[in-house]
Parts: sequence; C-alpha cells; structure tokens
Amino acid sequence: MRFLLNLSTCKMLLQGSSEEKFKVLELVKKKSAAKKKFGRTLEKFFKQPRIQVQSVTQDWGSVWPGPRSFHPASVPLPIRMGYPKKNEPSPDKWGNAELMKIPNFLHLTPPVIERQCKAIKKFCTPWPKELESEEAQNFFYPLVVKTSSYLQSSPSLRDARARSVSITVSLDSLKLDWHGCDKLLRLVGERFDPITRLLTITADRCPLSQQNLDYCVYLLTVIYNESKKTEPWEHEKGEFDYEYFDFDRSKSKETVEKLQEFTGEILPEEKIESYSNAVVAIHNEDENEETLENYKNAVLKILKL
Amino acid sequence: MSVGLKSTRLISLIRCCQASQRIVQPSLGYANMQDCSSIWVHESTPSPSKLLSYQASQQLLTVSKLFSTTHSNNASSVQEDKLSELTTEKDQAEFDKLYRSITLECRGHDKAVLASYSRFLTTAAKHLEICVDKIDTPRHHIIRYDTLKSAFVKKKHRVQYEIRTYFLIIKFLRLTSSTADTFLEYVQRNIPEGVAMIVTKYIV
Repeated sequence: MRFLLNLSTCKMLLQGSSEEKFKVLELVKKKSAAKKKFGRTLEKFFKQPRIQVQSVTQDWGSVWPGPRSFHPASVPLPIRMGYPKKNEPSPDKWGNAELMKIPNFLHLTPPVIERQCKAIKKFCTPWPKELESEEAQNFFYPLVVKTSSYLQSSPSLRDARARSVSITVSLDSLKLDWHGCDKLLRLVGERFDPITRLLTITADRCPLSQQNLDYCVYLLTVIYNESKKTEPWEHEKGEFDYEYFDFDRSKSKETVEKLQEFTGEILPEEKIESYSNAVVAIHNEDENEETLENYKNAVLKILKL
Repeated sequence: MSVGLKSTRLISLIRCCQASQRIVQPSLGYANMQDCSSIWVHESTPSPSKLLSYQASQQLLTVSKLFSTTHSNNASSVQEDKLSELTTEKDQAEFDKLYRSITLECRGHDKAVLASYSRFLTTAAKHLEICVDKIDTPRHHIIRYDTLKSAFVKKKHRVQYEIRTYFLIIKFLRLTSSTADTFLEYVQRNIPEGVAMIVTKYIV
C-alpha cells in the first residue's frame, strides 16, 4: 500500500497523536462560513441608526461641524414638524421634507459658539476706556461717518446702495458765532435737525463710497468757510427783511433816546430794559393781555406816571 | 495688552500738521475722520512730503482746523508724550478705526430662522464682549399677489400668493475695527440660507 506523504500527515506524525484532528470528509461542499473581514466587525453599527449607537457624552460639535440639512438618523431629538393629518400628530422626523428644507442651527449649539469665539477672541481689541461715554465720544470725535454694506445671496457681490455715505456733525462743535450759525442754517436747509442739533450731509452721486466721503468732507469744509465769511451785500438787509424784532435797530429805541434828549435826563437802565423787553415780547410773541399789561407798566415807568 | 495700533501714518501726519503750526484735534492715537487721508493712503511707510502732496490733505487740514480747541493744549502735550512712546514701542503697528455703533439688519422669509440667528448673534457678542444696545423686530412686510388660477378664462377662480419679509435689527456699541471685522466675518460666515444682512457702520 502506498503511504501518501503529504504535509498534513507529516505534521501529524511529527506532533504525535496528541491532537486527534481528522478532517471531516465532505462529500457535498457546504457554503463556507462567513469569513472575518475587517469591515464586517462594524456592521452592527451601520445596521442601526447613529442615534442608537452614539454616546450621550459625545462632542456634538464634531458630529455636526458645519451647516447641513437635517438628518434624522444622526439627530437624537424627537422632533415633529408640519401640519398634522386628521386625528394624527404632526409628522415625525423620518423623511420629513419640511424639516429638511428649513435651515437648522445644529452646527451652532452654545458650547460650539463658545469654543469658536474663544478661538477668535485673540483677534479682537478692547474699546478705549477714555471713550466709554457718549459725551467723550462727542467731544473727541464730533464727526460721525455712516456707511452701509449689503450681504445677500445673489450672483454678484456688489450692491449699488453701498456707495452712499453720510456725515453727521453737531452744530455746537463747529463753534460758529451767531451770524455764522444763521448763514450755515440757510445754506444747509433741511439737512439740519433742530431737535438733535445735528447737521447731516449725505452723498451718493459718485460711484465709489470713498469718493462720496471725499465729497461730503469737501461740502462741509465749503459750507463752514462760507458761513464764516460776511459778504458786503449782507449789510444791505433792511429792517423789513429781519425775521425777528431787534430792539436795538427799532424805532422804539429811537423814541426813547429822543425822549431822553427832550427831558434832558438819562433814564436808568432797568426802566429801558423793562421797556425793551415789553416791546420785544409784543412783537415776537402774541399780543395778549400779559404782554400789553407789561408794555403799559413799562411806558408808565418811563414817563414817571 | 493689545491696543490695536495700525500704521504710523497718523503720527507722521500729526507731526507734519504740528510743523505747519496747526492744532490737530486730540485723537488719542486712534485714526478718525479728521485723519481721513491716513485711512486712504495705502503706503506702508509714508513720508510727510508724500502725505502733503495727497489731494485730500488740504481738506484734512481745514477739517482739522474746524475742530481746533483752545483747551487741547494740555491734552495735545499729553498726546505727544503718548505718541512718542507709541512710536518707540511699536513702529510698524497699525491703528484701529473706531465704530461708535454697528447696526445689523437681517431680513428673511422665516421668523423662526431669524429668531435662532438673533440668539446666535447675541451669544457670540456676549463671548466677544461686545455691547448689545437694542434688539428690534419690526412688523413683517407682506406682498400679496392675486393671480388667475387658469391660463385661459376662468376669471372666478384665482390663486393668492404672499411674500413675507421678517426683520431683525440689532445694534452693537463701541467696537474697534479689529473686533468688528472679526465679529462680522464670523457672523456672516454663519448666516443661514435665505437671510440677507445690511451692516451700517457709524465711524467715530
């Protein structure tokens, strides 16, 4: 009998009869058992949705790092959304189109925001303490420039409205005398707000915002310088042109002076003052009993009656 | 301590202004509107002669003259000392612009999205230590269309459409340009879909 020498018999012979392993004779080949591949070990995870496998203490910021449409198998929240059918609750999260359409903020949970802000905090600078109050800001920086920029999802980055620039100055900070203020207000018209006492100059006529800013500053400079000047023709303004009654330029004062010349006495200043106040009140305010009464008393005092 | 200084354009500008015996508004070392040419001149190390030859410098000097104050004498001497310190310390540093306030107006078609975004904005502002002055939600604006349902005849049958725009206005106070740029970039990168933003800056 030929003794078949093959590797397995040699092994058996060498090892001895301690291992009594004989190959089972398979007449009909069975399907081989599941081979242990690497990926196969993770099958149990992929067969279940993530929500059933993830831990409660996981870092959600790593799970949902950026904006993403809602994924029901990853979000462990029992959310319902949408109009309910009759005698039914709102549709649940599985296959919910409304839930998937709406932008969610799952990538910006409070711990994530805190983490990201901490990371960018180093690029921020503190506001100077000296300029904490608005009075200080108005004192050191009376000129305020207003610009706008626009962000929208469109094919173009540009927005035509962004070229508009506005400058605001407080009238008091310009330190003009009475004539200067009056002239400036006439030049400026509606751009001055009498309640806040702010002059606002807006420009949008140039294509770029920097050009408009230049133009605003130029306008302010010109207006300021013009209002400081007194043109020779400004003296041609007659008394009938004045918007208010000025006692010093009026006939009433002339009358009082003539009276003084006539009597030869110089009246005390208080009497003249009371008279001038009474006359001014009648002109600038209404003619009511009070003003007329004051006028009567003042005249009687002057005439010593 | 980060003071946020930008270039020495301001310092050289003040020097050339002082050289021509004009009083410059006390500026505390920060770029402001009076120093507009320093903002516009895109040079790393400008010389006074270059600045003077720039067109806007004439306007600048008249504008700075506008705000000359008699009681700036003490302040300006202090400023000079401070500025000389600053130049020796940080020669290549740049100056921050200052924003008195920045108003963010967000517009969207969904109120809930804007509400979430507003929560994000306020939380981010809190972490970056930015003062939130006002949060306003004006009434939404509605555009309604009444159109025919059918392409041909059937006048009695119509379809009505409505476009709603919801508003969210948040005002932040007292930001330096570094803080503002950082905050705005962060916030604008995370703006949700379908939301538009208008940023209005009031430069001090």
